[in-house]
Amino acid sequence: MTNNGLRTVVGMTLLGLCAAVQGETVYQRDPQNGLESWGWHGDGASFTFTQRLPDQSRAYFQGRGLTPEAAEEVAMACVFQAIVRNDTDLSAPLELHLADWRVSDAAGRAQPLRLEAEWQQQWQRLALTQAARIAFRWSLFPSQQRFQPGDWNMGMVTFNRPPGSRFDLDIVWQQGDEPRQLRIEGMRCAPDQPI
Amino acid sequence: MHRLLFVTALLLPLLTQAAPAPSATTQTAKMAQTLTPVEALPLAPDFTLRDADGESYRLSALRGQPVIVNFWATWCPPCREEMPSMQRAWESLQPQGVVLLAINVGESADTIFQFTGNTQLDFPILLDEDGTVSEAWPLKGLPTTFVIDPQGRIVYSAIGGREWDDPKLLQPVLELRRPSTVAQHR
Repeated sequence: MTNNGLRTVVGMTLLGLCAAVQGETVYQRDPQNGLESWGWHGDGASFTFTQRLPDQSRAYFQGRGLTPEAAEEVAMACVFQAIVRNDTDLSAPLELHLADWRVSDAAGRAQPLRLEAEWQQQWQRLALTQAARIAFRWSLFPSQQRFQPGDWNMGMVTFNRPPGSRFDLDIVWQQGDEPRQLRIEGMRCAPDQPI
Repeated sequence: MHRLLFVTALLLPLLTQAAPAPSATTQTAKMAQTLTPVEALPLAPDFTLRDADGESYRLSALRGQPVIVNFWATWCPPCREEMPSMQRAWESLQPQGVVLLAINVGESADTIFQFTGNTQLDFPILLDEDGTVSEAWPLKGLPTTFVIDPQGRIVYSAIGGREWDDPKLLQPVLELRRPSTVAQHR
């Protein structure tokens, strides 16, 4: 079994074993640009996901050296800007592996996110420049990270869904020794339309 | 294609950022001012990098004084946001014998010049254009900042932006100037 395959099995198992958490889900729509965001705050952690329009991603990644074809592929992969924060006042680190997260469509079909390693394989096939691959690597939210209290990070995630589609997001993480899980329902990929 | 070019021209400031500025600004108010002790005290990976003016800096040549090493990029909103406070921190720390190095990840000198043209930064900004140094250090995302003690060991880390001119945040760094401070704190 490959590492990815093993992590997929572990991730699906974790979704069944983790304790649900107490917190508040927040939805916002920016009146200036129409971008929607979903967040959750509670139990010593917070997660915020804000839509990025495909046009934003096309321009941003072409500006970082991706070819138009490569930038188009990213733009159509349901890009969100994610912010994760360890808010605990205890000394419990927050650890997450994006490979454990799942997006589910209306029919309940679950699929993993498209992670940086998979993108980098594609960029290697497309022979993207080193500068473009470095910029892409650091623009994405890290596939795995450990946050000590007070630490936080911001980066892009690709949920690998069509523009405009709705989905539920299952998040799992570890806070100290405790596995936790959370579902944010009714999220939506930004539609492919100009700002 | 025409639509893309039109939108790009109109919205260049927004589109070239990793996220709209308001999102990053919102984060500032929530910043937790913490430095996390690194219990293992690993030796900081040595590097020799040049700044945008061509001056060379070697980390191991700075032994004997505390060094703050910040990894950043111009397109990273929290990185940009913490830079002014980092400048103020440097103005306070430099006379007290603390070194501050900001390592830009993967960008050219021209790109950095455009950024520093709008934001006055006097501390050394080093270029890691091929990302080799960044890959050798234990960081996953930007910004990440490490504090190195006078013995060359990583003693604190901070993932995400901070208000670097906060005296509470800088006090542990200043205390590193005294011998055996780390041992006393552990």
